[in-house]
Amino acid sequence: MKIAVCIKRVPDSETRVKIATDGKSLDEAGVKFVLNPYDEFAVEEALRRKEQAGSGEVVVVCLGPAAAQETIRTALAMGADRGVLLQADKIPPDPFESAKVIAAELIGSTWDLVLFGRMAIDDYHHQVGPLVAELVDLPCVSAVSHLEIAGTTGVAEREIEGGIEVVDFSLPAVLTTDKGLNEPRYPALKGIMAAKKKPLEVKPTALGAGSLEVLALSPPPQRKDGRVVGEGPAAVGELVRLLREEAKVL
Amino acid sequence: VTTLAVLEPRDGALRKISFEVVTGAQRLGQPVEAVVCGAGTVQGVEQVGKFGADKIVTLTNPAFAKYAPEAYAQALAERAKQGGYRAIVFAASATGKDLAPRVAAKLGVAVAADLTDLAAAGGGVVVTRPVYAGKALLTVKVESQPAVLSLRPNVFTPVERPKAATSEVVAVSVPAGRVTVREIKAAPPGTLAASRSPQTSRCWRSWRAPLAAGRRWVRRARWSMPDGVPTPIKWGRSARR
Repeated sequence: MKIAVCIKRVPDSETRVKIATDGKSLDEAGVKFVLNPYDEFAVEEALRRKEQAGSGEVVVVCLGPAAAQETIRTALAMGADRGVLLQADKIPPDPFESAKVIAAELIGSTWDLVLFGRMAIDDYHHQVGPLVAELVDLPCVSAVSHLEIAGTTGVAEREIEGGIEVVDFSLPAVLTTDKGLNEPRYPALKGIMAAKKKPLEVKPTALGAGSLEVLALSPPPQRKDGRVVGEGPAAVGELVRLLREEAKVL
Repeated sequence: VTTLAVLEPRDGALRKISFEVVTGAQRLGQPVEAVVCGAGTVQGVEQVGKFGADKIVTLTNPAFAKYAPEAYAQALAERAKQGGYRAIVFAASATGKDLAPRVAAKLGVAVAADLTDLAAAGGGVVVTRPVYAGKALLTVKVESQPAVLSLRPNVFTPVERPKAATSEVVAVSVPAGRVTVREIKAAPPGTLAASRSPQTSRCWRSWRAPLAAGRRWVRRARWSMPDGVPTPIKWGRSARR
């Protein structure tokens, strides 16, 4: 099985968000960057599929700055065979531009599977996978939380509101992975050492500006203080109304 | 300029989130055209007129009985290309998140996804979307024509603005899909990630998790022990929790 896994370098989920002086981006000083957690599921799934098939290749593709080599090495340490860095200093806020360059990279070879994480935990676009699928004209199933593949057909399950959607698809396909698909492995020391010798190709990439323009990045509104609605049974109606309309928890 | 609101059907009936989409779409101005895909008439679709839709379009095809990603996307993209809309508004539900990028790609644009606010500004649309797990808000100007947007569920409270909506039923032809939904099965209770908050869903695989678990355990043990009784510390056990 020849599998491409597209990954992203993102700030760690425990990052304290500090806004840069331009007011439009994250201040990256002191921020720890990691492999996007949803992409870890994709890498793990690719490795398991390859191990099951007994042969194949897992190629990690990453669009990002030069420092993203480190992120690719993490995936290589988990067991991927080689990496490709589409190097761009600045990724525009338009995910369609990212999708275009990733699609251009993927279209050069034939793949049995192309895996993405469901979304990146920094910009929450949750769309690059399906966009790439449309661009390379492959069937796509997004947010897969259970996967079975037999020959050239597969069955995937995706979580939707109030149920699980069971989807049949044909291979080759583009899948985006969700939590619950598998338990990603930790890179072993042996893997980390081996990753240093694995091939990593760096390709300078030029991206268009796209049609989304960031105007501002701002901190979220402060939480309001709690308040007392009333006392006794008389207040129940009002409380229920507020929970439903204002807090939207019912 | 018309805004196209994409409604969400399931099992031949309209989902309530569709009213949020119609309400949200009106932030970009009038008129709003609502579109839904169905094998026949979608149950409850006439109700969107009550929430301010000027026109209700039902695209019908036998393949639309269940969610058919490729067929839905094809039909909606064709409709979007014909109409010359300012914006196409989806719900950022599980289905909407799957469908919106497919339609957007066919139109050659990106989705401004998971919006909590939107407004018309000049020829474009200015939107607000939470990023970094809700730790910051990003204000973005969408200049693409049309702007493809998806609205975060539960943010836009449906507002009733009754209108005499006209309806139109259009039979469309779509190619056979390579991705087909076989069934929707019930999930075991309490297992759906969709019902959990996305912000708190990543505590897993953090090196701090065992420490936090240990602290929680100690705190609990301290409160449950009577005065003067030393608390036993079983780190191994607590770290697993």
